[in-house]
Amino acid sequence: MTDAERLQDAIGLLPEELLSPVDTLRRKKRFSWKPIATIAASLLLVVGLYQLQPPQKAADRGAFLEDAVENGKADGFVGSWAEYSTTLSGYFLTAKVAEVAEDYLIVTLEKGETATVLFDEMKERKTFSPGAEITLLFAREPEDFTELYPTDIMIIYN
Amino acid sequence: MDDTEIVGLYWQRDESAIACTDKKYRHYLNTIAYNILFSREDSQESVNDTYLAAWNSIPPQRPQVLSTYLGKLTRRISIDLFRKRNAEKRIGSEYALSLEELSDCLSAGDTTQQAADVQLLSQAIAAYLKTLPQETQNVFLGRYYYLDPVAKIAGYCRISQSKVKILLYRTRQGLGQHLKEEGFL
Repeated sequence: MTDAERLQDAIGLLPEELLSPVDTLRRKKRFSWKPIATIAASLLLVVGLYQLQPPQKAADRGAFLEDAVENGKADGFVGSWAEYSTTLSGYFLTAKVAEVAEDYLIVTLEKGETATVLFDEMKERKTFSPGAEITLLFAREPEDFTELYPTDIMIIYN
Repeated sequence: MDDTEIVGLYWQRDESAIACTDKKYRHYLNTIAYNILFSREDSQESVNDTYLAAWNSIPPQRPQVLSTYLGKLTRRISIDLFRKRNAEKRIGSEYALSLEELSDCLSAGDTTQQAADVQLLSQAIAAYLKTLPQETQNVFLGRYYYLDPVAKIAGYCRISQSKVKILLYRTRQGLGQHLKEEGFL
């Protein structure tokens, strides 16, 4: 039996008092606004396409991404392109590589803060060198800039 | 039918107890089994074995919370079945993934006290979890007790998947440190 299996066995013996809150949470029927919000957003998008000119900046971001992917300018991908193809208007952050490790990078952000970029789900990447300037592009604004996870990051671009 | 009545049927040795359990908890138990086994057929077998185990253990047991009692049986039976079926190969189940993730906590495997009592280890984990906020406990137990995927945990905890991953990462690190301090490493 491996250590992890022993740990799993030990977790299986945890007392009911610890399990009850999460058990209740798991079994609770939840109402989700997500499908309604998605339909509403789609309708707004259709209306918007007819009435509004898309903002130049968003288009630029889309072009930036497409160019990065199609022309192989991207130095690394986190997750798959298909997963994020609907979120072309990303969120950019310039950073300088401070330290390179097996599964993470330590980077210095524009204002001097230090952040850790974790690569636990990274599917393809080249080597990053300390001192290199990179651009982090996010699918959404990260909740915590000190630890940046693959679900937040779309691409790392030199 | 409420849980007290169902448990009462077991105590009366009334076979309708199993039908009532199946009606109320089949989906719940199937989810736990499927997270571990990743096979509909094996999950169904595991849930059927859970009913038999419940029939054989109630009485003398009188569970206070029937869902967690049955869930515990299903988890144990499913893990045993998983180990039996996959002695030589790994399948892509949430249980297999959770094992990989938990290896962080005991990464220095060869230095772990091989004779460490699983019961003592469980008590040490429980003691550590009790020091954590409720949300963190829910996320950790959702992932490593119920073997739920990250997306599902994010759903019922009403937080983002990124936050779930961050909480799991930090809790694994903290648990590893705690187990080290307690002499399990």
